[in-house]
Amino acid sequence: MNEFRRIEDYLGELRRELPGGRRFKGRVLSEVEDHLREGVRREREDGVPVPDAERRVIERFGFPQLVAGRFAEELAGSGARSAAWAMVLATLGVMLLRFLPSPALGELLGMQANGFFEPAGPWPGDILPPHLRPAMDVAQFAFLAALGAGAFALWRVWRGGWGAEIPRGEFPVVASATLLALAAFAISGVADTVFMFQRAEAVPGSPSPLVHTGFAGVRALITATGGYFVVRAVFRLLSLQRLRTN
Amino acid sequence: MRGEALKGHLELLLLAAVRARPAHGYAIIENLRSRSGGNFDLPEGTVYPVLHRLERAGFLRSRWSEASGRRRRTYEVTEEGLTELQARERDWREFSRSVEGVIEGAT
Repeated sequence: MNEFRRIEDYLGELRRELPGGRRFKGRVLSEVEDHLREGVRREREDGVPVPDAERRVIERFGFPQLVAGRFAEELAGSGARSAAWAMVLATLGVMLLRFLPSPALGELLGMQANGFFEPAGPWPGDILPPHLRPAMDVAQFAFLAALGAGAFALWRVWRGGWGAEIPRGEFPVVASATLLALAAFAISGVADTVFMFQRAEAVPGSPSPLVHTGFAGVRALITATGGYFVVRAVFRLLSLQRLRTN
Repeated sequence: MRGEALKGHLELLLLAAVRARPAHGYAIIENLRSRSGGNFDLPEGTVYPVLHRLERAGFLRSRWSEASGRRRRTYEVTEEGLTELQARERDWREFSRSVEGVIEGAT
């Protein structure tokens, strides 16, 4: 039977309550365990039996919820900061990939290419299948939201000296707009890819379907990565908020 | 001393407690308690988040060592932490003098 049963139980409860990742929890729990065992050792030197020593030391340390709540307060700042960075980088990545193959950029780089890496035209304009048109309209609108959310998050972070957090009240607005933008990017990514394949057939000299597939793959990867980090940051903030209010 | 009042000064107190020599969490808390004559009696677990905050701010650095077969985290104050400590000590003395002045003037 384990000699320090109460301490083990306490550590188990603290592990469940603590916010943060596995590495962070591991560090905190090792420190707490050393603290509690050191306390018991000193109590025993004064002749206190182990169960009583454990009880006293744990009482002095504080409830697991209280300790975890204090760690949550400390992590909330850095959590919001990572969330801001995730949103800014995801939005910038989305915008960059969206406009990379644009005719204006093509001209700027001296490439004879339009938005679909095609040779100079004239070529048929709009051959977007009608059923994809509403999705593209929604996507275009959501891109404006992305631009706004990204610019706002960027401005907040910049105003705080590139280290500050987005105020909690504003966070849900920026996070929802960024998630909307990522969803829009996914929708328009599918629509654009279908469109590109159709143009590849219609326009002589267009890049092979392999190029379009590769480009679509990169877009999907960026969307998924950005989405993952933004969603993770949002959930982390929500769980920190729950702990702070306990 | 009331917990909330103490909470506002905990960073200063912790920096002061590790100024003389590196120490682990338990020793830092014990140091606080004994030097305050038992007045600074916070839930001990609430001190660790503040130690972590001070480390993130670059005022403390820490490293693992081995003691009695256990992993132990030892904290020491950095150069930046010493500068910060001196600044906060100045602020505290000035604040304390001002409060004393107001209290004595009112009696």
